Amino acid sequence: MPKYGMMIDLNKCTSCQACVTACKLENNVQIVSEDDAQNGRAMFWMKMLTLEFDGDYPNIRPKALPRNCMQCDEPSCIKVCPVRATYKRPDGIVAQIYPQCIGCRYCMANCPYTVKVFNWDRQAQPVQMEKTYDPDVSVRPKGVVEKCTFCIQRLQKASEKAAVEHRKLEPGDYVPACVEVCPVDAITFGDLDDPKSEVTKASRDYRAFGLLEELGTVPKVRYLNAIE
Amino acid sequence: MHISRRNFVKLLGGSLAGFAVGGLGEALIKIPNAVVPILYKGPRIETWKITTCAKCPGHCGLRVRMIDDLPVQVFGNPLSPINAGGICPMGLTSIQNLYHPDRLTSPMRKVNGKFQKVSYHEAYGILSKALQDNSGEKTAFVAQAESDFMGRLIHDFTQSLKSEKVAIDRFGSKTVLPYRSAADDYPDFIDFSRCDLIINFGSQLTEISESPLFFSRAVNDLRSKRGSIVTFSPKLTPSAFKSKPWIPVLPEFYEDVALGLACVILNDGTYDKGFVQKNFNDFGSFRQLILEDYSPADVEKKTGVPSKDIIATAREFASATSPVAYFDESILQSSNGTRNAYAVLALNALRGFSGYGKLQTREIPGDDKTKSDAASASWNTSRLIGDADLKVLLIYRSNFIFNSPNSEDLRKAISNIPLVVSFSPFIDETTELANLIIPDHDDFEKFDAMSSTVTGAPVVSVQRPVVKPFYATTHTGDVLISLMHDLNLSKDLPYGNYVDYLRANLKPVYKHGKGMLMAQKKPTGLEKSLHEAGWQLTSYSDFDEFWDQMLKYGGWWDPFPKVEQFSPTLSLSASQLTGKGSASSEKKTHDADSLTLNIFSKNLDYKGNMLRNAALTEQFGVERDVYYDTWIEINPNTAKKLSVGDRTKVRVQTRRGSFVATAIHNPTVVPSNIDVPFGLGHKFTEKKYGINPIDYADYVFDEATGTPSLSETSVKIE
Repeated sequence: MPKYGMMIDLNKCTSCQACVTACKLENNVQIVSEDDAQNGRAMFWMKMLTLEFDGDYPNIRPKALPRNCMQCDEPSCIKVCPVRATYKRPDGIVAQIYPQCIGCRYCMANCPYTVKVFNWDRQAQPVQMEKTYDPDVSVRPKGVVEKCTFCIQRLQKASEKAAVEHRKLEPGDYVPACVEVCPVDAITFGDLDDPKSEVTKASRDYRAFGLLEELGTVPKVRYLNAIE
Repeated sequence: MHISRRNFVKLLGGSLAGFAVGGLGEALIKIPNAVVPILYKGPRIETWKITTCAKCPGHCGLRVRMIDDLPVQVFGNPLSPINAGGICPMGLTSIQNLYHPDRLTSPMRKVNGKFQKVSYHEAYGILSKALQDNSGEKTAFVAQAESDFMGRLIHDFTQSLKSEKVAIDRFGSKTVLPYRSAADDYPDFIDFSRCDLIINFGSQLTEISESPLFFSRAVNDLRSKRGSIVTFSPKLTPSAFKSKPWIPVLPEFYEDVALGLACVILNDGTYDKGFVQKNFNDFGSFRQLILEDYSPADVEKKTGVPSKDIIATAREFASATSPVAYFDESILQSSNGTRNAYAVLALNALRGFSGYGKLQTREIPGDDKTKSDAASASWNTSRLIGDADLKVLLIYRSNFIFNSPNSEDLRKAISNIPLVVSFSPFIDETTELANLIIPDHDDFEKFDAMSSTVTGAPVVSVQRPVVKPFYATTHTGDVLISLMHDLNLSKDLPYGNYVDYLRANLKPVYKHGKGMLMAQKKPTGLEKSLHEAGWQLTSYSDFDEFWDQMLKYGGWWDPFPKVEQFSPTLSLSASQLTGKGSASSEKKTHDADSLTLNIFSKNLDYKGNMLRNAALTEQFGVERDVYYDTWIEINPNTAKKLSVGDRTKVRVQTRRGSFVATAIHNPTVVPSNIDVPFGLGHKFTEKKYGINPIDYADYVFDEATGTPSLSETSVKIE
């Protein structure tokens, strides 16, 4: 069983935000109303963050990075879910069972990366908006927590296709939308248990780091620092 | 999971088909009549189609995911040599334009100040008659054509009307840059295989440029090969993150900085003496002028750029193997924009333009064919003001009212023109002033083609319809060709419609016989050797088969073109370089206590056309956590002096008025600047988000091209 992980190379990333848009569209993440957005309820599973600034003006650089769910190996969110709506799959993906979620938001509070978002309202758009939705992904109802799933629907499709073709899932058969669209191939995705996979090689790079690793969450989304 | 077709159709309701459906909020999508039967009957089969994006000059290849022949998602085409599978936010969300509820569904005519639907024949008849009565200089054409083929047709059309009043905004085109008035040629591409240093004057290479996605990859490759980029710009944009160093300077000083760099190189004697002797007319006068007036100390005094940075950058430029001093259309966004460009050209000449490349042969119809560009470069939208002769104005997809600081004067000028015809698929600030609208198809419904040389190879990308037009819209190319036929404007017109026109223009590519379709990645090894020995990589028996294959794979390119060093002859006078002898700029002086309003663009909307799109509008301020509203960015030290707290609302005052925005502390902002994003503030929609900062900018333009300055407005914070 593979263990999926992701490496984001900040040296290659151009902050173009294609990953942000692709994630939003691929996973039918709500475009919330103006009021909700301004009240801090905008929903992005993948988001560009500016964490801090290095140096003094004018020799200054912002530390910007795309941030999605860290897909922790020791996820703090599942420990507090009273109904087991969020769980870790055998392939390492931290998934969410939407019909099971009661909207208590304990998982949101316990996520140190603040990557989970809550459906505060019904989709502000009419149901007919569905035509531009990805037909492989359900739209979550009001009162449910959601987050990045490594585009699990793509894994499902790739697995079905491989099964029909009587073969095993090959590396590259399945990549999340953000990986597919990145114009500079800054995001590497694959099996962390495969020593030959690109993601494993990248994770051994001296530049590799994880966010808030000291908390022991063991994030499977990690970064390669920019080279100055 | 599947879309529940039953629920979908139940909610849709047969009677609602064809209307924007509200009830749960603002309608962001409209289900066209043509789609409803497919929703009922479709077997839900997934297919993919290849086309080309026309949202910016990049011409990226697209793969469109179709369910029951309806487009649902867009990704990049991995076989396109331009984007290699990547895609930007504008391309990703382009499908939302296709289903947008504000799309115009038929020609419209303004009666008593309100638009009414009319038939195509009626609209065409009005336009045809008006052109018949008003040929010559009584007609003008303003266009934003990302396709050079469409741009050329518009040129040919206006020329056949015997009018020189044509302005075509094509960001990626070298013909809009002042190469022709200073040199006898222009470069085709940056030769990244040799280039080891780029001195970038204001271009947002990876965001808004000739080809943002190609440049994104090329810039990363350059850096990985230990090449470097030095950026002079008024803001640390994501493109400038990639440079080292970033040297903050306002665009009005690019000219001084470039000539300051030239001064150091001339003083050191490290310039390419052979090149300047042979190719730089009157080099002696240039040398004297620069050495007298542009010492690093003088430039520092004027621009604020430290002389040590100028000296270090100049010496780096002089010692690099193949350096490039790069500029694009953004360099014109200043009162001395054209002079900025001349100065950078002169700087390049000192190193013999060694980092630029030129295609030896040009089998593809390219920009150089449009010789009329140079003649028409003197006309721009500002010339509409006070032009009493003008009787017909044609507008193709340009929203220049939104983009121009003198929009009020332009509005008045347009209101005096008897017939204004827009070919825009949407109502926007410019289109709402039209008397007649003949809406163009959406990009997913039309044929077009674009040529590009930015990758160092000739590339022709083809845009094809992935769906039949949903509404009674008409390809503007077809309208123009019909008019040329009906009005006998062009003798022996060999094509009946726009597709014929494209086919006729692509025949040289077919006859060329070399190159390949975008059906496989760039060949290596044996295939490369075979190609060099004369093998044709893709075979087609006749032109029809070639055309079909072009449509199927999205285009053609020559992976192994013959290229040469770009080596133009320069003729630059003192007045071209320094403004001596030319009319003085109308720029107003700053007050001692005022700051400069620096309007910056983002890669989500570079021309004010994309933020009708819901996903992009929501995402516009996501990295600043500001949604559906305008913000300003201010240096924390400046903010402290002005007692402006982080994320507080402030009133920003210019000579033209004031607006309220959220102030965000950003230590990368130039202390004397207030940065404000361009894109929000559309007024034609019911829901209005933020403000258009250009409405508050001073009327300052580059005099030669009419490009508005975006960073020469004094501003105060209250």
